Order: sequence, then C-alpha cells, then structure tokens
Amino acid sequence: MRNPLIYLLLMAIPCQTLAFDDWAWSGFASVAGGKTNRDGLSFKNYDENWSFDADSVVGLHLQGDLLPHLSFTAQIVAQGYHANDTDQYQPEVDWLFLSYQWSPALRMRAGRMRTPHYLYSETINTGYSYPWVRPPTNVYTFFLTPFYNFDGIDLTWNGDLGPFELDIQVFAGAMDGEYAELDIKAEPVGGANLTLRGQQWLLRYGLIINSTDISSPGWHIYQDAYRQLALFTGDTLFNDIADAFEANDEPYAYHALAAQWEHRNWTLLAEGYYIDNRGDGFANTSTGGYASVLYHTGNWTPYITFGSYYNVLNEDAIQDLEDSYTTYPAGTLGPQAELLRSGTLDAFRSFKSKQRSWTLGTRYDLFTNTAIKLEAEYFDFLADTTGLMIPAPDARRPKDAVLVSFAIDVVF
Amino acid sequence: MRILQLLAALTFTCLMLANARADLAIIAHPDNPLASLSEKDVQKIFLGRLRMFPDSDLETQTLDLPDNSELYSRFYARIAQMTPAKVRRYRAFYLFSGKGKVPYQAQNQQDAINKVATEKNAIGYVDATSDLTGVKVLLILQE
Repeated sequence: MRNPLIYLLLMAIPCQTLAFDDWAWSGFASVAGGKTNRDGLSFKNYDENWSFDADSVVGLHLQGDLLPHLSFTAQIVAQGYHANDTDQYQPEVDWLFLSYQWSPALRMRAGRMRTPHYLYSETINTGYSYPWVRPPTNVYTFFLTPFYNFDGIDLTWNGDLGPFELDIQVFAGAMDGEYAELDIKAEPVGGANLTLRGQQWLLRYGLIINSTDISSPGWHIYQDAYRQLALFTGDTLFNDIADAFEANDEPYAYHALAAQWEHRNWTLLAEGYYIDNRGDGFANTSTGGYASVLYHTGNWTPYITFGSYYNVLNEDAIQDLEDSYTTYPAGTLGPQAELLRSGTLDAFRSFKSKQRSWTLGTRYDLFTNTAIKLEAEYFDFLADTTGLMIPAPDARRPKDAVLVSFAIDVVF
Repeated sequence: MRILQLLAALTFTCLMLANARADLAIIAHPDNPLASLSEKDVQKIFLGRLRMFPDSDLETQTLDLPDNSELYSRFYARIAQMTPAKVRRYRAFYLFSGKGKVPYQAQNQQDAINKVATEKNAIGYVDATSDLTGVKVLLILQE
C-alpha cells in the first residue's frame, strides 16, 4: 500500500475553488516498437519478434491553481513495460502533489513525485521531451523502475551565482515498489540536486540516500538452509551468505553527474552514475554512463550515443561462497548443501552484468506536437554476461546484439 | 548635395531595417509593482524558472504569441537562444516534469495586449510599435 498521503491529497481539492480558466488538461503518448537480432534475449519487452509494448505509453496531466501561490498537479500514466508483467498498461499515479510558491526563489511541493535521479528521470515517460527513442539505458536502467516515484516533500531554490544560475532541490520521503519477485522499500529517502547553469551549458550533481529493505518470500528457504549450515558447521561464513538474501535498512547511496553543452547546431549531453552499497545484506554496486552528440538541422536531429554499464550483486557473498570451497571442498557438505551452494553461486553471478553500447539514430519533428524517432543500438556484452539483456533459461549467450526501435511521440 | 542624398539614403535604409525588425516590448498590467525588468529576469520568467515577479508577491502568468509567428521565433532566439522546436521540447519537459504552468497562448498581438491589460499577473511580448495604451512596458528589447 502506497502512502495514504496521496489519497488525502486527492480529497483535498476543494471543488468550489475550481475556476475553469485556471485548470488545464494536457497529455502525451508514445507508440513505439522494436526487435533484437538474437533469439532468447530480451530487453524490456523487446525480443527477437517485433514488440510494441516496451516504450509505448500514454499519460494525462492535470494542473490548476487552488489559491494564490498554491497549485495542484496530477499525472496518470499507463505504460507497456512494467517490472511486473501483470501491470502492463495499468493506469498509475506518477505525480500527485500540491505546490506552494513561498517567494520568487523558493517553492515547496508535497505529495507523490518522480524521483529526480537523472536529467530526464522526471519525464522518462514523455518521449517528446528528449531526443532519443528512450533515454540512454546505460544510465536510465529499468532496474530503477521500483524507485521511479517517491511520496514526500521537496524544496526548490533558484538563484543567481555571479553570471550563472544555481538550482538547488532537496527532497525527502519514502519509496515502495516491486521488481520481479522482489519486494523493495526505501524509507526514509533523502536527496539533493545541484544544477549550475550558464547561457549554453549546465552541470548537475545529484545524491540520493536510501535506507533500503529488499526481500523475496521465495528466498526464505535458502536463507534458513544457510543458517542451518552455519549451525551444523559452526562457521559464521554461512550466516553472512544467508544475510545476502535480503536487505534490512541498508544504506544505498546514488551519485549522479550530468553535463550539457550547446553550441550552434550541436548539443553534447553526458551523464554518469555510481550506486554504492557495501552493507552486510543484499548488496548492489553499479556504475554507468553515456555521452551523446546531437546535431540539429531543420526538423532533423541525428544523434550518436556511447555508453557503458556495470552492475554486480552481492559481491562479498560471491567471494564468501568462493572462499567456502577452500574450507569445504566440493562434495564435502552433502548433496543438498552442495546443490544449494553451487546454485546460489550461479544465481548471484548471473546478476552480474557488464556492457558497452553504441546508438545511432535520429529524431524528426513531423508536426509541432509530434516527433518520430528511429534508432539502432549495438550492445557489446562484456565479462561473460549479457549486459542489460536478459537471457532465457538455457539460451545461447551471444557476445553482442542489436536492438532496432522506433517511436512516434505526441504531446497534446 | 551628395551628402544630403547619402544621409537620405542612410535614413531610408535605417527606417527599412527598423521596419523589418521592430523592437520587442515586454508588457505587463499597469498595476504591476515593477517599474522595469532585466533581460535575464524576462528569460527566467518565460522559461519558468522565476514563477513570481522579482521582489514581489505577484505570481507570473506568461503569454505567448502563436508558435508559428515571427515574433515568437525572434523572442526566444533573443532571450534564450532557442529555436521554436527547442522551445516546444523544453515546454514538454517543463510541464510533464511537474515544474509548473506553461504560457497561455494569445491569438495575436492585440489579444496579448488585451489580456495583459486585464490580467494583473500577466506578462507578454509584442512589437514595440504597437498601440500599448492600457499596459505597462517593463523592458524594450532593442533589435
């Protein structure tokens, strides 16, 4: 259950204050399709057959003034890709907040908001707002979907710093989501973004710190088995491995850097992130980055993007498992424990992913509210992984893959 | 005589140029507490980074001319070095990331002047040679 605050917010709209002029509906939609050139590999909902459910999305946005300085915003979005297959195209509340403008420089918002991880995180569903078919996946990874929204408050300050402008955003709240079989909760969440802006450039640094709980009901039996193994052998190493199956109030830190520079018809965009967690429980270390060069000519915006991505889960537990083979060589723990040990090692290793990718594509602004995009992304898989693509069980694991995709984005 | 001819020719050329690219007037309601605005503040207001008039308690309501008009192109090229296509992308980014309202779109310059004359928190831009009775000029962007 999400924070009840958002339901209270919905009820807080005093109907008698609705003046038609001050309220506006708007919306956006994307129809997108794509396919990969490899059997048994999937990326979002893309696989070797044409799929239209990965980047297709529709959203409605309502905004209005309630009182002087106080406004209301709601956005409902239904999207084709969802971390849980059952929720495809289910309408969800992405934004629902009250905004209060304290002074020309200072604003506060309270309610449900998009988590401002990266430059385009807040409009990731509005294809029209960015040049690519989708924001570069080496940074905007789909693993972040459970963390797309947070319920809480934020404060934004905008001021001048000599000839430059500085935006400071601080926020706090809670996140709650699911990814595949995992229950994920982050509470409290706190963060800040600093954006320094010149006439033709901007620099941004973002920091988010979560206290994270991750668990899966299906994993409890493995945890129990490792705890029994610890009792049986008297070796606490197996307790450490048991701990790696869940996170309890683990501090996760997300660092993000972005730079944008515009010169004549050229735009250069680059972002990078670093997720750091080295606690005792379910641990995740990840880095990623991209650089994109865009050229604007008439209605065309061709672009080229290079990116890389690295993610490893439970690095310490993998080391513990490997070490356990020194103390207890294979075959010495009994058949069931051996199966558990080798299965866990395979499972943890399978979450490791490393890749580079190159993307070549173009945006074409067809009408004032419609853009068409076409791109091909070449994935170069590293370290015997399949990068951000997920292999079907027993599928061949190729060294590379190509994803071709297109999108038609409208705003209204 | 030649000098006079030259002067006449120069004056004519200047007039032609002035006609081709008239100055832009940034206009607000007569009761707007500000006497003037800087170009930087105009940029911040029209890009939505300043949602209240500086040093005031008055929220801004920006008014755009039609986005296929010549003045619209010139205004955003001047204050933000943005093409109309870039402004549209920026507006989508701004609106759908919950940052605030986008400008109302006036039907034409006269409509913009009329709206600014009646809405206390409105701010717009029009050709400086227009009849500006009933509105306050906060800044002239000279071409």
